[in-house]
Amino acid sequence: MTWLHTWCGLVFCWLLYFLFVTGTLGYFDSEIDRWMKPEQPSSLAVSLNESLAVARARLDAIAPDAERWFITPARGRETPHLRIFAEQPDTANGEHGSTVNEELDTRTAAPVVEARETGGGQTLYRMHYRLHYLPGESGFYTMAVVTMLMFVGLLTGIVAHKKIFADFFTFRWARGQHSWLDMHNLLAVATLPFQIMITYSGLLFTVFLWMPFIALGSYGFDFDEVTRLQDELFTGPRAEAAGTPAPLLPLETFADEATALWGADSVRGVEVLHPGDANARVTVQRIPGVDVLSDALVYDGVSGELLHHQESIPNAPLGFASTVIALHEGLFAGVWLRWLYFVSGTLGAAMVATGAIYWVVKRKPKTVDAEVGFGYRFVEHMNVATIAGLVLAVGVYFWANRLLPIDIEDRADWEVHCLFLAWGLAFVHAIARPLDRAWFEQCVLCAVVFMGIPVVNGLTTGTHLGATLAAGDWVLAGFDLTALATGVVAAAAGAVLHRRLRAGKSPTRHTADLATDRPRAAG
Amino acid sequence: MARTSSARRRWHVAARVLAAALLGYVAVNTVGVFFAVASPGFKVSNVVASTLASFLLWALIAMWVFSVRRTRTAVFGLLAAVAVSGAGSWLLVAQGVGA
Repeated sequence: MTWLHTWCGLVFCWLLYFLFVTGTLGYFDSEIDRWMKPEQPSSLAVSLNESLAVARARLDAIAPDAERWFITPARGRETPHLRIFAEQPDTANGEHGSTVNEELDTRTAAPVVEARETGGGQTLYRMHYRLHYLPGESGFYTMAVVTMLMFVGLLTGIVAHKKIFADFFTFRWARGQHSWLDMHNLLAVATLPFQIMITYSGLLFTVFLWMPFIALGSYGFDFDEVTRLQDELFTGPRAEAAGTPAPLLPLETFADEATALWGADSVRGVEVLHPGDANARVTVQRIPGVDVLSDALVYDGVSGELLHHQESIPNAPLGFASTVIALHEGLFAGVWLRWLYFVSGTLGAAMVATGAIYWVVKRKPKTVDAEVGFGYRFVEHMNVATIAGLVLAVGVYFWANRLLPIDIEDRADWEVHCLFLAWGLAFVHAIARPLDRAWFEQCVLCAVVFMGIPVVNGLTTGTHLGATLAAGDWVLAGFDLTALATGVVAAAAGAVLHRRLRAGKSPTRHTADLATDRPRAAG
Repeated sequence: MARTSSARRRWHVAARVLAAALLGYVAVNTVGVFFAVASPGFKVSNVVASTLASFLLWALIAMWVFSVRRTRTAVFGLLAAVAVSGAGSWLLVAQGVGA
């Protein structure tokens, strides 16, 4: 079991670490978006009916003959601005119809002031399942394999540590190899329920990709039957357009009814299928919360009759799946639960990192003249470049948002290029420098970059800490303060490493090895 | 001598990795179909439940493959599981017992 645990963990540990870091940042994707668009006015709370009236007027003007509208009212975190979406019918030769996506300012009923072009928190968050540069779905496939190995790693980890709870209360401080193992155990056991949930639910996102054959096989590979059942389970029968025009009722009618049923501030979005057609369908979707997974009301858009209430989930296993997926996304979470997610994810990243470091420390050559294999060196240096280097690169991404010229072409892409360029340089640096020096220097760089974020922000925008703290704007102030805290942690790590360097004691190597390392780097 | 035993070990590791990944995947599917069609109750629910359990089953199979003493036990064990559950599923689906 230990063997399987070691190799499942090691083979993809750096990709897994990347997945944890970017995915964890995703729990604050909307907050990061806001920080990265400092020009955009903060959201203005308006009533649902005001949002719907503005959206309807705009959609009637720009997309009256669309097949589908989707309106997301302005309501804080995920949608600071009213958002509209319209999709034209498929063309005669079977291509998908064109779409329009706009954010509207409810005060002016016009599209909101364009902020600087930025990838924002969404790009960071999407990296954790798409990687960035990989074409099409290949990033998704890769991450699915990584997630499966993580799942095996978790289960074998539990089996490998027979005395899991006794070990949990053991911590051998400053004992080299043992300390790394204890830290790895402590982080894993403390967050075990989160790790199992996040990994298993991560796999469920890929379930149709990975495991279509159980459903297909159970129905004797009758594809039509499986498709029909799928439609029945997930979407319900879809109304076809009648082809005869008929006026759509004001959307407020439906919203008022939904509000009467669910209470104020409960509507996530309104979908209109075939607007202006006699068979128009209006679906009002409820905001998922801790007490509700999904709930929607389907109306006839012309008569206003309630046709269908999709309250319940068709069967228990699907209910289980939607619950677990909702737990993964955490969209229902308020600010404190969101922090708990963030902390759990960070500890998960730390668990992966300590595991990778333990692999190196455990295999540390016992004697001065022992031969050190290429694989061993590779892992050692990859650890520095990933564990410290990726954090550094994320910091550079935020700097790029503030420092890249506003009018540069493909600015959002360049922000991401900066991230990966910085990460690439971190690899070069980690290889070029002696190991202990590389760790120390990258920690110091992390500290400088992250402590510098509030400074760069203050110098380039008006939304500096002085202003945001005074205004009680905790989203923007929280970002700067979190960056500052990250910088302080990196500086503390740097200080520990510095003390060891001065004492001539490497954190991961015997002193004697340094002697063989240094001339190599110098020559 | 040391070299050959290390090479042998590598072959065995490679064989187990393949067994866990490929044979394991096939076994997960045949066993999953078998339980989906053989279990009593609402078939759609059983199919979904089987699919949801598949990742856990696959992980457990991988752990078993690496814990048995002999590589051939793992390979033949999986082949037997595939044969039995595959034949059972085929009979049930073809005869429409589970539908």
